[in-house]
Amino acid sequence: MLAWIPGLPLAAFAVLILVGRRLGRASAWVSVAALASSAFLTLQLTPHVLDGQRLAVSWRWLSATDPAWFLGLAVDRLSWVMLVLVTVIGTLITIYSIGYMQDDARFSRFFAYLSLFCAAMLGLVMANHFVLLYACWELVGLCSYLLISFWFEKPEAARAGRKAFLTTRVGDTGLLIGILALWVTAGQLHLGRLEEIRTFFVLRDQTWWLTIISTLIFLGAVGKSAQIPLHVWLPDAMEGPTPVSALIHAATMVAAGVYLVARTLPLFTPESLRLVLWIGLATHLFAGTVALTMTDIKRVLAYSTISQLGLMMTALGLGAASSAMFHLSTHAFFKALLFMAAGSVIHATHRQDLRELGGLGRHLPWTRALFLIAALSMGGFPLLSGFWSKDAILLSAREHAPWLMWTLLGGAAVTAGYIFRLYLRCFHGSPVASGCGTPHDSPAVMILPMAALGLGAAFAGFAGPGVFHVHGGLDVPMLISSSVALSIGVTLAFAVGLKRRVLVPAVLRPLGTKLYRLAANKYYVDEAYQRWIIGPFLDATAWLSRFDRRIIDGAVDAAGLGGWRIGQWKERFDRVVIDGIVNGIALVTRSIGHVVRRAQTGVIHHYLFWVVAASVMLMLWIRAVSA
Amino acid sequence: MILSGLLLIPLIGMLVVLLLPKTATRLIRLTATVSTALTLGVSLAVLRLFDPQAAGVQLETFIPWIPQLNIAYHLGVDGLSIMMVLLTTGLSFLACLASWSIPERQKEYFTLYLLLELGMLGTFLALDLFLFYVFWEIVLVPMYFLIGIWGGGRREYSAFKFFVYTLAGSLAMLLGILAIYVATHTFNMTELAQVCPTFAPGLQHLLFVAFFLGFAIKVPVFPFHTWLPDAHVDAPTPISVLLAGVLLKMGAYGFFRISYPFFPEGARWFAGAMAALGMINIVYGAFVAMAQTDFKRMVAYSSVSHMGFVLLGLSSLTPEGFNGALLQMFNHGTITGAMFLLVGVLYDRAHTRDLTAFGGLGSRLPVYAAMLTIFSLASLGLPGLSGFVSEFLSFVGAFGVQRWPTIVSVLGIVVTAAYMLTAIQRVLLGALNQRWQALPDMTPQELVTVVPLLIIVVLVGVYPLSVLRLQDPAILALLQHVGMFQ
Repeated sequence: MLAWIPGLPLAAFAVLILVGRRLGRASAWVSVAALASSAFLTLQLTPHVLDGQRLAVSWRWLSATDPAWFLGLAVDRLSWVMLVLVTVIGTLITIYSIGYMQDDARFSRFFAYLSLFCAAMLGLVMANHFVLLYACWELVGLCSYLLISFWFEKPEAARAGRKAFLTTRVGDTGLLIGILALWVTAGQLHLGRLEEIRTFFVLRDQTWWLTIISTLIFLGAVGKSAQIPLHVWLPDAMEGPTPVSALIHAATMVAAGVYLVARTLPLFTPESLRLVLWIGLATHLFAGTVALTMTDIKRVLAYSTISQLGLMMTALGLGAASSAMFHLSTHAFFKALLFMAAGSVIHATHRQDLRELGGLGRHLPWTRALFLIAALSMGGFPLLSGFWSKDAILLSAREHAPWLMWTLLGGAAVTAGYIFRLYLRCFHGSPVASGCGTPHDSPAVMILPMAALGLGAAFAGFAGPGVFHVHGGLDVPMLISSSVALSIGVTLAFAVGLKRRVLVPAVLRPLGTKLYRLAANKYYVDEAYQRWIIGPFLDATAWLSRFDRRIIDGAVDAAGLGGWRIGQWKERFDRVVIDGIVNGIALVTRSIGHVVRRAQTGVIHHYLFWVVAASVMLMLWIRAVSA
Repeated sequence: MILSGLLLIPLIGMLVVLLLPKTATRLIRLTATVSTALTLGVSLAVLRLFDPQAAGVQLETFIPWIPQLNIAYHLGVDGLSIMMVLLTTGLSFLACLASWSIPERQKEYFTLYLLLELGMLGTFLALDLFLFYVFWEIVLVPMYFLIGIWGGGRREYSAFKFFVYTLAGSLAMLLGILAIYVATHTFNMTELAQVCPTFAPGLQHLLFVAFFLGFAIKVPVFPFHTWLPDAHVDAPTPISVLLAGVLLKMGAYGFFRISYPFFPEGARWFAGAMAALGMINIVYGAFVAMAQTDFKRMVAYSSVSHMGFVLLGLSSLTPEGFNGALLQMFNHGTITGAMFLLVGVLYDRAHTRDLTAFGGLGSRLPVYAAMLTIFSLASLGLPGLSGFVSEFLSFVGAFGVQRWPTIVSVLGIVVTAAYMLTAIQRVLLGALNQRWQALPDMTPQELVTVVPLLIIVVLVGVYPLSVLRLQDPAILALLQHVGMFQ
């Protein structure tokens, strides 16, 4: 039965890619039905999983006999959480897409890709073998590529898709090398045997191998979850249709990196966890500040996603896998909702630049209300789901080190700041003249899935103690401090973001401008990569190509030419010298013959005369010699 | 005897084509197609008779030919050659279908074409070293004319370069063969595999290098690869398919059939160099491919890169690495064969292969776009398609033995992804170039040549055991053999 969960969306993909165009509008419902059935199957597993059972199925893959190469699917608590997220949110977003994509020429193709993505993502979280995990990991990357560049006629979309695939692939090679290293050292790639592998290395006193392997695995997560320094692809990925941004680039696929680290946590050592912590923290703060300055709605949300993923990584770095997964789940709800609300705004106004938007609250009441719920949840408003999960992380940080908690609280203020800046400037303030009449709220097929996600964004947090075993109950000092952070963020967003007050004292203003410009230019990371990595890489390819043509092939041609020359020279030698000798001899012989022929007259007494004369001469000569 | 059928059918087909009048082009094409189809059918029958459990040579045929010199007509098939035989018959059939569009001198073309198939199959089937050499050289002749007469661009230069370069390699091999004969007085490859490993190490090294030169030029191994882009680019499409799909495999097959079993000591001695060369092929080929603007040239350099995985797998001397190398030969044949067919489809329509001249074809030619995308993805090693399995196996095998070359090679796959995706982007994505407004999508005739390869690529990618189970016993036996003479 487990195989049906990814199998149904895969079947939907196969149907849609083959006969999708004939199905027309119905193709969307094939996709929805498959995914909803997967969701249903997943929910049926609930009692088994919450009992702590592990369900598994496996089959032969690379070897008919060696069980180390049998691949399989398994569901435990960790993967079950991901399954619920992918199937439930996936179903809702697929329904939403019916409205969002209604006029698209490649309508059925979109749902085919979406189904393939869900199949691969479900396979990824259910995989019980590193190779299957890697395979699905690459396949979700492919779907991400196909969906980002779905509107491939736009050159930016085509470029963004390629950038996403290549950037994540850099991380993936790390994962692949990690897998190879694990196989060569431990000879075991089953995800259910991670504790055994850990013991194996600990007993041999080779934990440095664990550090290397876990760091390499983390590199894969860095790529997929858009952590520094491989975060550059995610903001560009917003070129894809908005439902794709919601499902893949916010709720599920980008969270796969967090899932991977949580899954392989037994392999991590204190050293590699410290790396995870620092990368996560740096990403959290870095992306948060960039989000404060972006003016494109979807880019604000993209940097917000990067920042929140950084927060989850920070939690993992603390070893708090359950808090990280908890935040991953609540984030999936509110961030998917934020993207869908943003999509609703774009759908209504055909604009996505904050400078051209404002005062939409009156026209889009549902969208506004749902956006507000999601924003409050993300900002950590008490009792909404984001509050619980963020507090769980803050509590882990407090146990680790107070400075870390304070830093994260600062990050929380930034989070509240950018999300309310976005909210206020979209839905409040003066309406900016738009050329396309009065915007209307989206149709029910889009609003209803958003409302369902709104429920999740508000109440999913109450599942914390039951599902994630994070400790329930309110921690009052934490409640107060995180509420203060939220209030500061909201106030600043109102004062600076909406009312355009300048709060920086005059002395610091030049510095402020400089910092702002730095953040608004995304810290010039893209430019640095272009200059120091991509440029030299392309130069190297061009140089090697010339080297190949001129030097290597040149040597071959030179050898060929050399052979040719030798042949020519030899030919001339033959003609002039060898033939010359042969002809010369012939010539000499012939000339002699000419001379001698005169003597051969055929008259006998001539010959006799010569014989007598020669005999006389000979006798005279002998005499002379003997004397 | 069934293996002789594989050689007889192309031979008879060739003779029939020769007897037909020059003007009966339809009949000539039909004869050739039927011959290749029958050969494919016989090879499938061979597959049915083939026992995957057995490691040794099967379906042997042994007829003394020149008894004074111990030369025999000796054929057989085992796990090392079975997939190569199927690859040859399959690609020959598909490329024959693609040859229907050859516009002129069909009689000569198909005569040479069938002779080429005969030579290729003979090379993979021969178990007599002399016979092997004969077939190996037979392949050169039709290939020379097929490129030189029906090719494009600088076809005479390219054909000549291909011919002379490979011939130069064959000479080194011929010296090796003579040396072996002088020492053993036999050409029987089964016997030689038992006798040659007992040679002194120095002699083994020398002979290994002699054969290496012959095979390396064919594979081709850096720095002997420059004939390949020229020959591939200037050959007509069906011939490029066979050149990349089958001819390169002859070199790699030589390693499996001769170099490794005959000279285990040489193989171990050369392993480090083999890994380094594999790494260079992979990374260097990918870098140079990235810089190409001619689509066909790019695919040609991708061949250099992909054949590197064969060398890397071979260098490992492990079951995984050997399985990966042998599977990579098959996968490269199907994937790159299809890539050349697809480039040909584009060239037939647009009469250019300049990557920068295209753009936005994805919206105009959706079926073509789908095919090109899938095979490009297979080529860049996407899991679920066949290329991934063999690359992964090569890595798994080599990582434990040749760590750093393997790590560098893994990094090389990022470059592979880069040039493949760049090509897709240039050809299919972006706004439609108005020049190609009227370009038609793939015809059913063209699809027929590509879709079978697509099915194989997906099948092997999802269920690699379908091929691995055929070759695994032979590979284990080979490795055991290599390990025995330590």
